[in-house]
Amino acid sequence: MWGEIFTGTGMWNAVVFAIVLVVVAIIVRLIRSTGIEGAAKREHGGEPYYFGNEVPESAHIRASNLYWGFLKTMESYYKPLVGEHTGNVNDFMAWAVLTMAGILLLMFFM
Amino acid sequence: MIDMAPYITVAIIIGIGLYICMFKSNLIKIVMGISLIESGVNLFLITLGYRHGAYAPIFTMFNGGIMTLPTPQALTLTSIVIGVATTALLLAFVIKIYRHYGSIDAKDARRLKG
Amino acid sequence: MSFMDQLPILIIAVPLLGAFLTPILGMMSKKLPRYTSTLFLAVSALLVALMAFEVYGGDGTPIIYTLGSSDPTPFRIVLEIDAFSVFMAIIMAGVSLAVSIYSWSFTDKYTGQDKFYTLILLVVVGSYGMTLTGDLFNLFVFFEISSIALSGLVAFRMNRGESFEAAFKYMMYSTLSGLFLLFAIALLYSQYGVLNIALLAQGITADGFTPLNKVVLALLIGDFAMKAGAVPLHMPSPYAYSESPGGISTLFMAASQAGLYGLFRASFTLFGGAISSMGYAAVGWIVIILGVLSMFIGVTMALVQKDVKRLMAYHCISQTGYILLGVGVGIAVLGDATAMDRYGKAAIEGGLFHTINNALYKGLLFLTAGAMFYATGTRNLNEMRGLGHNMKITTMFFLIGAIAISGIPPSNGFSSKLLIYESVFQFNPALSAIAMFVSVLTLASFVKVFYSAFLGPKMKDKEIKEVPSSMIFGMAILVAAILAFSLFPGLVLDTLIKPAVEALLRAWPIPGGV
Repeated sequence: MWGEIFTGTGMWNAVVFAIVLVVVAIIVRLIRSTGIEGAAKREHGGEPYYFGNEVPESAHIRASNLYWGFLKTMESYYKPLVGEHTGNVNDFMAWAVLTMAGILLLMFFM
Repeated sequence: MIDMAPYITVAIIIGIGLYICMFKSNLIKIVMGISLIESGVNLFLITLGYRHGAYAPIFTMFNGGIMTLPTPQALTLTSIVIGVATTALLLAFVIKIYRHYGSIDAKDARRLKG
Repeated sequence: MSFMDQLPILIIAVPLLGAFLTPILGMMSKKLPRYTSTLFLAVSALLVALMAFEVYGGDGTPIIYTLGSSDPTPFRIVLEIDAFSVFMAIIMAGVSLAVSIYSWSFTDKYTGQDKFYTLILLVVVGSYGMTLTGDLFNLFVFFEISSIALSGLVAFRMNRGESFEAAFKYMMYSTLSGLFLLFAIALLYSQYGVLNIALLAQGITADGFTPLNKVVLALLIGDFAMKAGAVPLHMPSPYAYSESPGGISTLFMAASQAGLYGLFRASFTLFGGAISSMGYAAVGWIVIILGVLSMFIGVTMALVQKDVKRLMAYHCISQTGYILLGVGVGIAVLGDATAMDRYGKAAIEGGLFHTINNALYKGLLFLTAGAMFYATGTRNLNEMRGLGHNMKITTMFFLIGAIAISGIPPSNGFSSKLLIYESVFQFNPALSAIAMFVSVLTLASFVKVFYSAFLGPKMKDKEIKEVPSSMIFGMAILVAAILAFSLFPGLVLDTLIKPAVEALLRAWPIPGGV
């Protein structure tokens, strides 16, 4: 078929992958149809179970608190990194000059 | 050694310009620093075309000898015009920053950080 | 003197004419500039398509066009177009068309709309000029045109002080990088006496890597990396991306890819002969180090952001790192013919395929972020929730973009990342491991955006409606292109990318045959 790519060590064909996805979806549909009819349309059918109460507003976690565990462990990596992004124009120029000097040194001594 | 005088001047001017950009915190002084770097690069361009004992490259007043190269002079004119446009735009931004923030210190104009 | 002969200069001249006419038309009626500027952009996109047919159908020699006469001597300004230039011009054509249709209703309530479209046309002129020229000083002039017009667009909203601050920082950086470029051009002119890229390449290949040439190459890499936004030269980009109005972030990203064009042109065409004859791997390693730093620092900074557009700007920096990694591996093995056949060409192909994929899915994500801002009036992720109940089409487009950027099969992001992983692994396995880890973190941060903005109960105090149809049409163009590239990657690879890679690795012929 047309859309194949050959990397140096492998092969990838997207149309075959899509056909496999469609076949798996058909099998899943067949398995689901052996269940109870109309199970999702009963009262409180597809909603989250909140011990019988109303779902409150604060059940939705805000964006800043989402990856709390990951950010807390990597605190010693993040503190200097966010500290360097000060927004001060003088620091921008300093980084530019330092990087140009670094590239020049690498070109000459490598 | 006197031949190297323009090149040493170029190095000093660009060095002073970079120092001002890195360490002065008044925004107008930073724009002046960029203007100094531009002048340094323009001087470098013109110095490249010079030949010993040569005349200005105007064809109708030519009476023997050699002429300096005319192409760097055309490049320098283009660069001066571009420099005028960028300096004007930068100063316009500085005026608007003063109207909104109330100060033109680089340490105050950093509401966007992180 | 047929029409097809004049094609290269028409591609640059048509948007320039549009940029001059738009303020005059804006005086006549308020809504006319939108439609005429889209017309000019559509005409120039059509001309780019015609040029692509001509270049890809030929035998690989570049098309040379001399400005002002039909006699190609290298002391005039020449436009030299080969397959790589046309490839970058195609990216710019598609993205600019989608952005201008998207902006019809995004700037509905703003005044000064004719100036907005004038500046968009000038940015497009600058990008086309940078990619189609064959003369180094011409490159500098178009570089400055596009950076001045872009900083004017970043400062478009004049009622908030933050836009001016972001535009000031971006303009400072662009001016500094333009001056470095001019210094490098002056150094090259003083040694060889010409400004034409083909003649300079011949001179540099004969001379090899003298210390002055090393300084020139370091300056060129430094200033094109400043335009493209590689770490640690990325500092003003996130602020500029987040403060620009709606579709301009997409245009900004496409114009930054022109910086990558300059970097690859300098490494392969100008200095390629010198690198391959001396077997000098330092240049490739510099580009690889820039790429790895960009990937890693870009994605880790993106995980802590609250502002949705700044998060996407850090992801743009990280994807640029992938491109630099892929092509850097290609530069590092330029002198080695067997390694080049085994994995070098596949690495460069992966890098170039990633360029066009990045423009498509990153552009789509920025346009959906603009749609979120249009519907809710805020960019802060902490204040948004439950947008998926009412904005169904935007949610689906966002999902397609997020799947594509994380490299999940069967999207086109997976195809290009597969090429990069497999070829970089044969060069050095550690780099490939870092690249895969960065891909996982990319998926993590897009899950964060999807959860906090689109899922959850509805917002109580605002009325959320679906965005207007012209914005959906602009996004749908990019979605259709992503779906087409996902299902048939081999077709895209054979027609668009392999000729571009062949053109990069070949020396340019001198105009006039001198």
